[in-house]
Amino acid sequence: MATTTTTQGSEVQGHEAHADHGHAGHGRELQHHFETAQQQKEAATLGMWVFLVTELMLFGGIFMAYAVYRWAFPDIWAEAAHHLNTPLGAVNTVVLLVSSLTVALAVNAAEEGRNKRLIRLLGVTMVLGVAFLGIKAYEYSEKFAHCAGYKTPFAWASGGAPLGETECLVPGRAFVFPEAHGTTAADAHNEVTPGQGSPYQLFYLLYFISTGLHAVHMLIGLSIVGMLTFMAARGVFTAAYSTPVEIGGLYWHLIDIIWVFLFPLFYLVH
Amino acid sequence: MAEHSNPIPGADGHAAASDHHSHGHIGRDTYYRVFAALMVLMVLTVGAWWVEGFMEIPRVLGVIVALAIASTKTVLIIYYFMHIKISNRVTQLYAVSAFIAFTILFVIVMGDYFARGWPPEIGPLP
Repeated sequence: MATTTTTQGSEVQGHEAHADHGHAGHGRELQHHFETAQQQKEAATLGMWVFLVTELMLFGGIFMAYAVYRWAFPDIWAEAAHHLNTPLGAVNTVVLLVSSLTVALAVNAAEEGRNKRLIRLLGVTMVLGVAFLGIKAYEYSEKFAHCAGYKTPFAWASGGAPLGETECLVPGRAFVFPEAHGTTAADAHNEVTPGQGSPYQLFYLLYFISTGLHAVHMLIGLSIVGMLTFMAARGVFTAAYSTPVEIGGLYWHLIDIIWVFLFPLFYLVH
Repeated sequence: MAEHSNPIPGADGHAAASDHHSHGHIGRDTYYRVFAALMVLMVLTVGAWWVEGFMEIPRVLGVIVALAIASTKTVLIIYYFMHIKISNRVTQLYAVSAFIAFTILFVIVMGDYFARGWPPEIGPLP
């Protein structure tokens, strides 16, 4: 996508230099290998969808691993999930759903050629995206603070209240799942020897991998929306040409869809 | 909804494929309604989880409810926000193909696990 937009941008600039450049019958955004602007837009949209399908298969592999292990260790999954911060996860879901709305409205504004509204909506989207990442970062740092022996990341930074029990839910050598929570059959069955992985760790491994990969996608999405805002501010988009906004929006919606599944699968487990 | 009814967009080839876009359009009010529906579903999924916390229902049922709600949200997002409703046939086919591909992945992998005995024994592999 980046390549397409760059080409588009340079063509717009180059146009002033060449008086006509063969664009007499149509808008200057139309590349020469397309017959109509409509055809160009459909090709770009289809290309983006092909990419999105590969993205879905990338996450599909993780969801597959999740399905296998949750099927194998349902009790452990239920117990492990209770140590995630569900209220924060729910807030993040709302943040992402709102950002999906603002992106949909931004695409709509671009189609109607309302540039100021487009820039404002893209700006709101970026604020929401950063808010999502901030909350996610807090959740991660909470888990790391527990490994360091503190209740919250703030206590960790200021040397405040220590954590009562030993708990480390970050996968790795230091991983310790708190035992206090009852002597279920699953617990007795899963005595973990030091240095050996436990199914609890498997849950948190999948949690960190999938939400981490999702956060990477958020970073990419944020830079795409930032680029679109920059282009909009330079007046690239008109009612006749707004394809980059449209396919950039598709990417943002994909990020939302992934989270729509991640949230119930990790935070809402019994 | 405010859009034109176009049951089979682009079904009759190139001409229709490049034509139907000009009158295929999703209005802002639709976006707001879809968003409202998404928020309701979001509250439903958390509510279902909360209720399951003190009700004895089969665990599988809880998973099915959560996945059904997530799938409904996904369909709403893909159909309206991602414009699949007004896209041409090839694009619609690609969107569906992702889910067919994931179904194939799931069926083959789980089929293999079941064929080897499921659920597996806990502990190191033999």
